Amino acid sequence: MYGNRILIITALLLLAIPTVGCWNSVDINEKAIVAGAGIDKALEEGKIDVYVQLIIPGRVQNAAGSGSQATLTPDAVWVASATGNTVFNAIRDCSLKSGRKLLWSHSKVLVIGEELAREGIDKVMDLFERDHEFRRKTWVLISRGSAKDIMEASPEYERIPVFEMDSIIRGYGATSKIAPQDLNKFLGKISSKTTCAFTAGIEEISSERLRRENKVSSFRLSGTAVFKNYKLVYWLDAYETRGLLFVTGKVESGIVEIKCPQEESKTIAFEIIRAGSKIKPEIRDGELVITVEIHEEGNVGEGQFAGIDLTVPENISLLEKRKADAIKKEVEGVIKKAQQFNTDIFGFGEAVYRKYPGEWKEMEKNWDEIFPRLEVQVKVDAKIRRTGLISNPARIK
Amino acid sequence: MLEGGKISNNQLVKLFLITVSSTAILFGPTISYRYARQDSWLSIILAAVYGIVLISIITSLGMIFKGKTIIQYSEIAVGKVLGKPISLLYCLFFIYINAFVVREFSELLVGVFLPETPMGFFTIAIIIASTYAVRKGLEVIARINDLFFPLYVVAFIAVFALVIQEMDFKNLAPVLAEGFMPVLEGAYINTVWFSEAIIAAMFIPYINKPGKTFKPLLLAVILLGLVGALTLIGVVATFGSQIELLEYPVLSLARYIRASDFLIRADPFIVFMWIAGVFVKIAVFHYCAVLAIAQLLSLKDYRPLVMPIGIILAVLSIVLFSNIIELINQIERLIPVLGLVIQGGIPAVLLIVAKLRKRGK
Repeated sequence: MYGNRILIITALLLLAIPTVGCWNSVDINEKAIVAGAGIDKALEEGKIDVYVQLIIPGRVQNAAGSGSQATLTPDAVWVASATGNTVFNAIRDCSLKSGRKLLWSHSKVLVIGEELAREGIDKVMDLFERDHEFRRKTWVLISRGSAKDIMEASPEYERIPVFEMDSIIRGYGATSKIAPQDLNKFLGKISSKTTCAFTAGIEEISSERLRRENKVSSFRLSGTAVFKNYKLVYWLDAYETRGLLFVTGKVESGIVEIKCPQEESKTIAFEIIRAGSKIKPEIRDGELVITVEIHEEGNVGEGQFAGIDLTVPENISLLEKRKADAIKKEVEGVIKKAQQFNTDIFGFGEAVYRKYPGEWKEMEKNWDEIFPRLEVQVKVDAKIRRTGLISNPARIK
Repeated sequence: MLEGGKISNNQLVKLFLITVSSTAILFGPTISYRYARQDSWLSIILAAVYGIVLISIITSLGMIFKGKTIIQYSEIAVGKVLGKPISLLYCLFFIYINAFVVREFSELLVGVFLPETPMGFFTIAIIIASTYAVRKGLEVIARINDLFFPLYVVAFIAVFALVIQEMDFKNLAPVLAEGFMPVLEGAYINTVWFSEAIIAAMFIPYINKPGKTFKPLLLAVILLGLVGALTLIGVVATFGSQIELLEYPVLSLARYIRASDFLIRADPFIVFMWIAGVFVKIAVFHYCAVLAIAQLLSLKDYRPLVMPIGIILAVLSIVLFSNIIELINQIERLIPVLGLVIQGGIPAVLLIVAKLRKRGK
């Protein structure tokens, strides 16, 4: 009996050897790990260029070990490219060059070239939702130029360019001046009948330092690309972007600057601690009016030795009012621009649907006529809570 | 006695929860959303009311015909001429519905995780496992389930908790925008969550305290309603109208998680829930089928049937549907109707007839 048991246990343990692993297991060193991808319109009409940024694992490791030598080691990535009628075909063709099969599950960013974006992205997005290797958490960025330049640009702080983009995006809250969207949110808006999609832009930059290191260029995230019917229509600048984020309640932090009321040459900067918004649609006498209510709280961050007494409550309320006006200006600026281009990036239509589902059915059909002439009231309530470690700016007494 | 083992009420509740939720969580939300949109969670709650009615019918039948399964008491209730065909119908139904489950099981694994593996591989693997479990009897299936249950609950909660920061609960408004009809249509689809209470009609005789099954089953239905409502609230809040396009919204939800730099993949939670949960489900229906056939034919032992039925299941799961579109279409068109008629309607008729006859005596 005892011997029997040992036999069974041995048999089971032996069974463990052939049963581990999958049907078509591929070792990690036979795969090429994709950090991110870029898509451009190809020179040939109707075709698409795909650029795939592949991580070279050995070089990432070297860099970590060599410490200060990091900047002198070669790039830890390699960009493969191919052209095709469909993205899928082009991506597969990339493995003609890489040799290894591409592993997409760690891909973080998808960059779309401006030219392709202006022509329409409807032909290139399907694969990223359909294929099981892609993740809906992938960031979508629009290049102000070609996606190729961005994919081939060098990182300045991280080792892998796409990882640098990823960390910039995840730190967006510090400024709230970029509005990056992941695939899920971007596609959600792009497939909406009335809401227009937007996402952050990325541009190539060059500098003296990069040239010294024989690198072509680097990149930075800037502005917001706005889409209507799959097409890129216009760009928002940094403050318009923050206005948009104020309306949608996605401002995390950032700096608001105002001129000092007592001394016009000085600027006072406030740090946003928290901000929120409410979009309230209302039908008054058959006319739709949207009220955007923004609540913001912040601290005095910098005073430039300005001549204002911050220990006086009246001065604080005056500054609160000025700050509210500054935020209101950002918000009204972006609303005006969005109405001018007839793009409902704020989801006003959806807010109306939530409150007036019955009336919305009629409005939805005519939303393109209603939105540009919509009356939007902006109410900003800005608070100053603290002044930091000092109260008054230092002055010559 | 065909089955010597006994299970507790507690085990029945857990079996019921996992049997239903394992497939409903993954295949349910998209179909439900097509009808009731953002009010889908309401329609599940409405369907839970039907679930409560159904379990009260089944437990009442269990009280009237003590120690007997629905296969045995159907002929007592309505006579041999009608009773035998009804029992046969149940035998066939348990096999047919299980063919769906086996196919769903293989389809998800092939479609999402291991696309190059032949589908038959998964089908054969799960059938071998299920055959083994069923041969060991009800008690063993219930105990495996006891083992899986806490992990299953943790996995379910983890998936939703980790993605909560991406949810936008505004997607759930407006409530009842299109009136009550879509919610009713959605409730009709969502009855599939609760029709499977029929397994209780097979298991009640094997419970150690057969008189006290209603309360635990009621708890199971309420929990199931909550799980369903939470699932739909979660996916609607995360994906909005995008759900319509998603084949498996809860899986997409798990893949959407990026809680931190290193915790970025929650697919294994779903794979665990899927393999463990669906294994239990397949074993439960496999067991129901062989037990039903053995009782119908008055056999002394059900074990000789286990392997042949397993082979039939594997073959049916492959030949019944040629692709996933057909599978999902049939789930949407056939399962709710069959559920309401066979799993809900027949027990109701049996109960009415049994009560009338009793009064007549």
